[in-house]
Amino acid sequence: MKDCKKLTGLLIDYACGDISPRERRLAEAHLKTCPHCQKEFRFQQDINENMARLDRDSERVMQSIDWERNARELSSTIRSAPSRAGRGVTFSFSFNLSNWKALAPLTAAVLLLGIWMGYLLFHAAPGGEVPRGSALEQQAVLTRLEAALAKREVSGYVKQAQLVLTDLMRQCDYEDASSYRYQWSRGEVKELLNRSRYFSQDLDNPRLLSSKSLLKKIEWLLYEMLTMEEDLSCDQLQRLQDYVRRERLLLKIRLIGKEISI
Amino acid sequence: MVNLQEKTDAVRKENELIRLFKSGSEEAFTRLIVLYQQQVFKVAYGFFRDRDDAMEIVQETFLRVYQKIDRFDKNSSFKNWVYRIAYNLCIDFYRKFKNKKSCDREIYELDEARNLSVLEPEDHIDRRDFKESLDVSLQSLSKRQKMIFVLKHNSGLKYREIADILDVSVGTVKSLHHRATQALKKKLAHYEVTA
Repeated sequence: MKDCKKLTGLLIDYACGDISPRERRLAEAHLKTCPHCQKEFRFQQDINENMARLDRDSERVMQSIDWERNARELSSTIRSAPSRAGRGVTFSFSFNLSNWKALAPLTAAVLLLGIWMGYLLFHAAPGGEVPRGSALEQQAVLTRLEAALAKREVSGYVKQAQLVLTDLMRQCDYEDASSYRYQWSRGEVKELLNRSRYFSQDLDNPRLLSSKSLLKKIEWLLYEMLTMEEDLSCDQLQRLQDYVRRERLLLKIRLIGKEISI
Repeated sequence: MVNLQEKTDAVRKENELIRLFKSGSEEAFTRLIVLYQQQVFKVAYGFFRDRDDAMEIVQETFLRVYQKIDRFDKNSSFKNWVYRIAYNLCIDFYRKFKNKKSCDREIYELDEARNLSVLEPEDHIDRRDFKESLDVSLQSLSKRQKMIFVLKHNSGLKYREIADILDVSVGTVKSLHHRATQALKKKLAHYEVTA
């Protein structure tokens, strides 16, 4: 039962048939002795079977389409419309002079309304003056808005980092350490680091101060990964895993996640 | 052995089509559409469960292929490149029309709930069978999880291929797939008794 949690992912992969021979042996051995996992596995197979049934629905829809004809039509439409380059076939909307003519009265009305509202806001306030403190209030609103945006960025970043770290911690667990190689994606780590640039200047904001040290540690780890090859041996992994454990990064991610409500 | 030979021939044929298409052959472009349009449709249909939306994704995907073929790296997989374009378009389309879609879904779920409310609780399972509930539960996954689930189960791709399409590690794909599965299991837990 203790191993069950660790093997959940393995059983999902086993049910999908996307598993290495060694993992397959491990899953089969465990399934023979664990009734709880046998039940879970049957349920997993049910999900897979029903996904296949859903897939058959899509195949029925596909049978109703003349694909040869569709390909010819699509090919000729695309080739005959080079001016469409860079724009969506269905989502685009082309503006020409007649469109603008039709929109002119509406545009004028919106402009007039904007000017009138601007006048009311800045000149027609009670007493004919801009109310005291309004600039400060605007500043406060802006600050809150910036903090909320930064919080959202941090939340997305932390979620993605959690995936990368969880994956890292699962590696080289039940495998033969001498031959094991962990393949990670340089692209994904770079994307994360790029993402951190968006909010790095906002980390001094009081609402985000608690996340600052955690985010710096994650950043360090990611830079460390970038200095390594894209397939790591168990020894190299161990060093990164020790750091994650020592700094309790996953726990902190969960706590910070709760704090900024991800 | 025959299988390997067939695969090699298919790759050679595909490379030849890409070369001809790059040099301006219209027929080669049509043949490439024939080769991949159904696979793109399957992914998009699995994602949106709507024929028209899926056809729009097919159109838009091959328009992008036509526009960006010069950027295609001949050392990488053409199939995965096409899948990546389709994936990005599905996500963009989802973002743009999310509000409309979620509104449609809410109306659909409201209708469903209205129909079900006249029945006794135990009739619900009979009325909405496992497949339908799975279909509805799939909509509750995050767009990334949903796409991975579709690529895995509808398109039958391996984790490695999905990782290549999404440009993430195999571990991330597995992790997202496991999370998606666990989320679905939670949603469908009441069926487990009968499973």
